[in-house]
Amino acid sequence: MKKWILAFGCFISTLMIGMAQEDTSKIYTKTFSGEGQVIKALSNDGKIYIVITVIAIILIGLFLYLFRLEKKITRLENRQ
Amino acid sequence: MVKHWWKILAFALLLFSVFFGLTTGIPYDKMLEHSLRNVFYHAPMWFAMLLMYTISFVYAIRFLSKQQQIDDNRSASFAKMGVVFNVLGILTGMIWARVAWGSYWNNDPKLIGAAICLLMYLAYFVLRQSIAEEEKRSRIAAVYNVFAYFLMFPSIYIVPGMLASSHPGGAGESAFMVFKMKPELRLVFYPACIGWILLGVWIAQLRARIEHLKNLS
Repeated sequence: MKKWILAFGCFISTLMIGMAQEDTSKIYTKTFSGEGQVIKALSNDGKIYIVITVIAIILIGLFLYLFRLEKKITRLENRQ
Repeated sequence: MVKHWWKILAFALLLFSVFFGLTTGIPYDKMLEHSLRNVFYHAPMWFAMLLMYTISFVYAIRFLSKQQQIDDNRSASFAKMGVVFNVLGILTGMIWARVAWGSYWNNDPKLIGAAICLLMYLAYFVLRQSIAEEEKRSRIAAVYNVFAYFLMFPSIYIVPGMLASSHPGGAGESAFMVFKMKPELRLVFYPACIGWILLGVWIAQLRARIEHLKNLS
């Protein structure tokens, strides 16, 4: 369980760092850009990737908490 | 871990929606500008709410036919999660309304409908609290749940759909603006909806299990 969470966390953080690089983000912007778009790219000054990383950390924390809570409940259920 | 895959999926989808919701190109709107991105975070609340109330309704029906206490626990937990999404939807909507329409609350049919829906489900919990006897409480609550579920659609969907509204989904507009969304936006919007729904299901399940444990001990 812990191993999986750790592996997933590593994967996500690698993804985050990778996406913060200009080349990758350009590819993604090209893929996802619409007409009259407001933001050009992730690395284009806006520093929006900081916000994304912050939200990602919040999400990771929330989900880890929920997994731990579920584990505790399962342990209580097994004791019954 | 294998049976937990959908929880990981919820996390991945939410992360996806945050990442692309903030970076994807959006149509330019002079008044909304970047606040248009709220559609990726505000609207999924309502879809998640709809699903939570639906699951709650299904368990209420199941309780009425099978009379098993666990179904009542589940029904109440999902209704509770629905209320959470309902409140979050109203709050996020108010913040957005401040920028888009100039005030936090403007008595738009859609907003009033959402408030009625919330009050109806809050009454469900008041009803639950007011009956001490367990079996009676479960049965009356389940019946009220069915009633509230069928009133929810007119209040948030049908009636606002017939009246003029500044909110998308008013008269003469497709009720779910989503279907008119650009494909790139939908690519972010649908994963966000699914992610929130899965997260809601998970939390409601945990809650139901705690309630069940409480009943056993």
